[in-house]
Amino acid sequence: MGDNRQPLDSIDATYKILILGDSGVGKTCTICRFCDQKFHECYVTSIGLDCKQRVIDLDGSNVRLRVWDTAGQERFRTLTQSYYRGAMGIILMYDITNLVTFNHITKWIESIENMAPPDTCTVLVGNKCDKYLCRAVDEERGKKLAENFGLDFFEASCKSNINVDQVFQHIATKIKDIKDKRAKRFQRTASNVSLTHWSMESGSHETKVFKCSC
Amino acid sequence: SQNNLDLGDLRKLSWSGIPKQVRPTCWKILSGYLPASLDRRQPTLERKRKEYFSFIDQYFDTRHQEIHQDTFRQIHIDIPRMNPLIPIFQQPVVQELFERILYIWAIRHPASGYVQGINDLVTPFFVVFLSQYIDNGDKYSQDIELDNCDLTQLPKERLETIEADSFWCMSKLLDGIQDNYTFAQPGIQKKVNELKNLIKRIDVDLHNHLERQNVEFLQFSFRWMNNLLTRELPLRCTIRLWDTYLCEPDGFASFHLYVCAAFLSRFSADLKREKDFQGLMLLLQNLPTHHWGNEEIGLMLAEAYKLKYMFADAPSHVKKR
Repeated sequence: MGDNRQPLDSIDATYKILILGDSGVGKTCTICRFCDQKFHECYVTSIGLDCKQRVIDLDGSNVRLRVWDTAGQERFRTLTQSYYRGAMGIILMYDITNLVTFNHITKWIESIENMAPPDTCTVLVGNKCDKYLCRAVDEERGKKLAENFGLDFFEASCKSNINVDQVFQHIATKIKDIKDKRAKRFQRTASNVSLTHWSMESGSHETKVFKCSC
Repeated sequence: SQNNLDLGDLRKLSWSGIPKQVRPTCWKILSGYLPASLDRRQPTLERKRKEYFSFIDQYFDTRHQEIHQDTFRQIHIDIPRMNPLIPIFQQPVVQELFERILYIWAIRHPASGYVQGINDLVTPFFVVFLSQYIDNGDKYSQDIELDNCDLTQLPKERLETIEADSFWCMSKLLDGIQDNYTFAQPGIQKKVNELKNLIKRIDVDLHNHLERQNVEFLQFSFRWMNNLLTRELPLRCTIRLWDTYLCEPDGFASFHLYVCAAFLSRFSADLKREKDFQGLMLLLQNLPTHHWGNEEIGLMLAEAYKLKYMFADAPSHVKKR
């Protein structure tokens, strides 16, 4: 977990983000780059779950991004899927130098669609774009796949620190939009409810106002 | 008789730690790989080593076949990421040896196949069996020194012996914990729940503290079960821990649970000082054990043994609220 501790009262919101993808695509590395602003050439394989976080500024408010790092191997899917449920954002990652990891993306999307809440914001990221000489997946293919599934798309490199902050900033902005929209929708529905209430029981002056708690 | 070792005696003696010089032989006997009878040992070793290399001849070429390539790919990308702080693991000859051991084991155990973490369970055997052939450490030190060891200097036959013996001993170990690695990993799920219940019984304040901060046991102890604490302890401590595991009936499964409980309790006070989720996870993911040695492991094992006696024969102690 990142060591940037902030006093609790200065945090306006906490967003839970999950990072998924095959083993070896650079998930842990990306999280360390973002949360600790460091890059190491070699990491031990992740087992189970790890968690790091970083507080970012989002339109003037302090938002804590709590990022869950997962193990990529198929056998751990049962464990990691139990964490899809509360995810607000998912970073789905492949390695642009490794076609197999790209070919597995549809499988990952399927399991996200089955397990994650419907308004989870998912971003597709092709990592290791610094190694363009070994590229096995064209940027266009990544873009196209993302388009087909309605995802946003980035190519990034945690080694050269390309687009890493941008991916997280983007996903945080999207989560905030979704939350704001949901809150507005809720308020609108709530006001409709109180209006109906009013008209149906026109004698009563007791109006129930529903307010969103988030 | 002279030629027949009493296994009970060996277990009793070894429980508190095995001297470095005799550890390789003791581990092979305690694993159930080497017979207790002295006469049968050499023929057994020869037969088993031959058998292992016949597996390699039979199976290793299948690694690029379509049905096996995912398994091999996974092993192949995991091995270079093992033990990044120990230089010998960067040597190609060692990485290839690990690749063969893991691939052969995986292909012969299709119910689980290769699961990340199993690779860490070969390391202690490999290092202990290698230690009898290297002599650059302090003679009186209990730690195995691997810093300046060049394996290309080691005769090929010796390395092969180490490879075959490591394979068979890790196979014996995994026989006892295979449900940790089969579909949905039921062995781990069960142990994580048992750990939570056990902590609730022995340290309810810690249990409640973790619960209040929304820290789930699965979040930190999954790895403890999947990798048998190898990620949480220095290698020398894992080796000392295994001296005892190999003596305990069902050591790597049920006794390991009590060790995990003792391990967590050991940090109870530190954890209670952490007042939020962030601080707790930070600590739980990097418990400060880098300076640990035999003494700390000995204390932890004594505590685990006590817990085993309190709870093992009375499982309802754990289940009841």
